[in-house]
Amino acid sequence: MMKTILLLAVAVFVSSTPVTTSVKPHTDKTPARHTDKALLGELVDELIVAIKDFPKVLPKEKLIFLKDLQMNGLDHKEREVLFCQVEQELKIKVSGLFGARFDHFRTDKKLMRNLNMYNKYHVKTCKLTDEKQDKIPLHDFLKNLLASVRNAYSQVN
Amino acid sequence: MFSTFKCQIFLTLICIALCYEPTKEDLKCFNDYETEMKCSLSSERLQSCSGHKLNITHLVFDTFEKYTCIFERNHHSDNCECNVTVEGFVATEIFNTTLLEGSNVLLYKTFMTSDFIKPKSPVLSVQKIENGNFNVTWDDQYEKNGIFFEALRINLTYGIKGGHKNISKTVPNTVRSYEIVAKNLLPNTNYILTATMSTDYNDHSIPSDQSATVEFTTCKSI
Repeated sequence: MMKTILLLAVAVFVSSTPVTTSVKPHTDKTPARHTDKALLGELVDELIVAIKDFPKVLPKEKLIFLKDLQMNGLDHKEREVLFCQVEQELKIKVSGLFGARFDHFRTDKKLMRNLNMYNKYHVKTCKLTDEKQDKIPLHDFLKNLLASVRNAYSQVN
Repeated sequence: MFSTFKCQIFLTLICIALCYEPTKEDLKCFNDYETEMKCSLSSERLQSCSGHKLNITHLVFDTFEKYTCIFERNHHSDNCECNVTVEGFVATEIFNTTLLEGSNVLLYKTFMTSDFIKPKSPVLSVQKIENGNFNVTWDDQYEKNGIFFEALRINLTYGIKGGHKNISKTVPNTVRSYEIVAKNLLPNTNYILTATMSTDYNDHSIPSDQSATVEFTTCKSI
């Protein structure tokens, strides 16, 4: 009788152990080229839309200023660091601002999510630049960033 | 003693047979890269969808978004199916799923967004044009444009209605139309056309469901 119960118990235990599987989970630090392409391409799309909400000419009180980060003439590694700094700058100074026109920059929206995922695979943490650095309006920051992302995209495309 | 042992083995086998043990192939999930994630559970030993659900955890930036997907029987496919609406998809974001029957955990499965994209089925239209050819156009069913839509391609398949031989043509979604040359077809014949869509985001590994069939008829003389 005990043997029967033991056998049944083993059978139930074996059959009820959850199966853990993954469907191509991403474990490498460097994603496939086509995912880099997807992330950067989506970032271009989202930046183009976001820039439309921030025309060059705005009343002074509506201007948002961000650090004038070096965005052109960068090699691949420098650009990875830049994108990490951009994410921090936008997250700290824009993502939480009140107003519908800042919705593009919320951390649950695609612009920030694509930037975040790109950085997770490239540079997760980066040294923030000095706060005393020169500042430029958000419109100019985004335009410079768009050019840099387009450059990165062309190199993986 | 031997008959007791046989009885033990028999009971063990009965238990193994009756205990539902899903495999990774039984659980399939797809996303349309817009707002919808659909999952299906299929198994010959799955008697009822009742009580089965999928807890889904999706890491968005630094926040875990949680969804519960409750399975129901699909009478067309006889599978258990469920779907959830997601606030947009990003290529490398991860969905962790836990398949439950009641409170009993049956299976864990992880999906990376780009790997399980299954685009929406296209909606086809065929128009006869002045030169006698047939202009095929389609609606990819997506609202926005951009890199994802440029990465789609459509696989058109047409052939004689009731026939066995088909012709397949693949074109980028951005082309927006395809012309079937009438002189390559038989005169006074009914043809049928279907299509699927696939994406470069996962190397076109998962095609969409097949579109609805459209028919066109060639002239008596071509």
